[in-house]
Amino acid sequence: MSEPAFDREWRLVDLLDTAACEKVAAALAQLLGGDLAIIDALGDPVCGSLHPAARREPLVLELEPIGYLGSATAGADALRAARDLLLALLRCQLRCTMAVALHQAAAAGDFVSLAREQTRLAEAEARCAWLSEELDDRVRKQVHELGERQQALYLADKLSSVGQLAAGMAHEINNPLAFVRSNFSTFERYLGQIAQLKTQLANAEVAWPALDLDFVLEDSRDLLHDSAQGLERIARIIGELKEFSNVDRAVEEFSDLNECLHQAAVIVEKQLPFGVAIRFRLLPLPGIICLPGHLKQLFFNVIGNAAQAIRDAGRPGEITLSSEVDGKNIVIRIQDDGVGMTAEQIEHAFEPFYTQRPVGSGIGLGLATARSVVLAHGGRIALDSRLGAGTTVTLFFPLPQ
Amino acid sequence: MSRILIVDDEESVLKALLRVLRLAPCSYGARIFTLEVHTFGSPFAALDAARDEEFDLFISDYRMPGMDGIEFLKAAKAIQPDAARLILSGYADLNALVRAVNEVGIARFIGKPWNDYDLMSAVAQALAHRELLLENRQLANLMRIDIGDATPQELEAERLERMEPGITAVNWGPDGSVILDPEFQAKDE
Repeated sequence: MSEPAFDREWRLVDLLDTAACEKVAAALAQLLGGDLAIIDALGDPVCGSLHPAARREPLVLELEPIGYLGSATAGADALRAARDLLLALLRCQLRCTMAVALHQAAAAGDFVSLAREQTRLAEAEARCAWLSEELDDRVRKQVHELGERQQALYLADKLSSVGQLAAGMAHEINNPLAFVRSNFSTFERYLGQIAQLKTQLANAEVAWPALDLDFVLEDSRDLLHDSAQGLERIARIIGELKEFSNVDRAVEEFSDLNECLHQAAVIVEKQLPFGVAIRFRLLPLPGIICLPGHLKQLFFNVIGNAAQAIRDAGRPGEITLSSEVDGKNIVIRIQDDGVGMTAEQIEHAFEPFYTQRPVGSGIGLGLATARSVVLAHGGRIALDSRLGAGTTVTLFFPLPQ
Repeated sequence: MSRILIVDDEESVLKALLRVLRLAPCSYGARIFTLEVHTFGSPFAALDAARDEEFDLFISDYRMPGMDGIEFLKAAKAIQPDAARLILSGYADLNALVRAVNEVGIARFIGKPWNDYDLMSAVAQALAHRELLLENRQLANLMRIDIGDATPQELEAERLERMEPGITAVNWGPDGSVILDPEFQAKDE
């Protein structure tokens, strides 16, 4: 520490600077009526010059003299009195100086600790900045990772619904495929019968009825007609699937929501369990700019849930799809009279991965996806359900102002 | 002549099956079956027919409106337990298959689209199996008569009971009359 301690050994010059010293010396000299000099502890003159033969009196503040008062002319008693006067003055000055020094030391101490505190703060701040940068970095990384995972999960859920879709489609496609294939192999046999006629051309009149060719011709026509219709049906189903698979094309289009709803319903209808019917109550809607692919997926999920709820109830039921314009919104309702949901199920319904279905039938992203799609369109989704009575999902899509 | 009943809600499938069954030979080993095929578009109409006539084999689609193939075959089994049963379907989940085997005891599950040859051999096998079972029972009955376990009268009663459940039990009224229709008695009381 550069500041001297307040309780060090004080020297004479510390207490009386030269100017003050001269003033005091002049006053004392006047009182003594003779010459006067003040020297410090080492004998160096502070004020005035000491005559070699002069009488001197020590100035003792504590133990050691800090200087001497000397005079060649003054009497011994007068000099002692002058010394006592000077001592009283010095003591006063000492106290004052000590107080100042103490104050300075305290202030200096404060300043140093403040400076230390300041550097510590600066260090902490720098560390904080570094940490926050690193945190930012890590958060960014995690968000990215989460996004990737979510994508993967969406994909998994989509794959599982593709699986269900495929199962439903399998039946739809296999039926026509079955009779078309069988018909063709039958037709091959018929051709064999017709070919036999060639070997008996001379005897055609007899061979024709014997080979039952009237029936063969008649049935071939019927068979080909049936097969053509079967192929037509397969083509239509694949067309519908293709229409539906626009899901990945996240392109905004000007679309009629009724149409999206209808297309999704047609796909679900193919996989409906027995005794479940879909009823449409669609009112004309104005077209809006939307993502038709995503909306179709959304409707597919929600209608699929409704069908499942009726199947779970184990009784015949009906899904009602209704749409209307209500003030500033397009309102779409998907209503079923299936098992309904408990309060707990309703509470968790929109949470990702919440599912009441057995493992393998979906991972519980249906409604979570639905909500994010609706939110992306600036709309909202509402769920109303009573246990045993059924569920209504209401979707609101804002109309452009 | 083996009588076959087919139910499928799709007419084109029924027609295609008729063509196959009419043309393709149906044989199992040396045994050749001639087929008489009856087709129904609705399981309910088919059950009505099953109540009136005897069939050797029931073939049913799985997914039909109103009643699925397993329900239908279960009902048909209750009416004619000796007939063989097949399911012909484009798609069925594991649950359906388990029910078909456990509850109905189907002889074979044939997928759609079917292969004509597989279909014919499945039909022939089912018919042959059924014949074998019936023959076994008859031989066992003869044996039981031989060793005195059963009388021809008992066996005849058993046969009639099979044909018309309840026919061998006489419902006597309090006055010694025979009550043919218990519903009338219930009304009197």
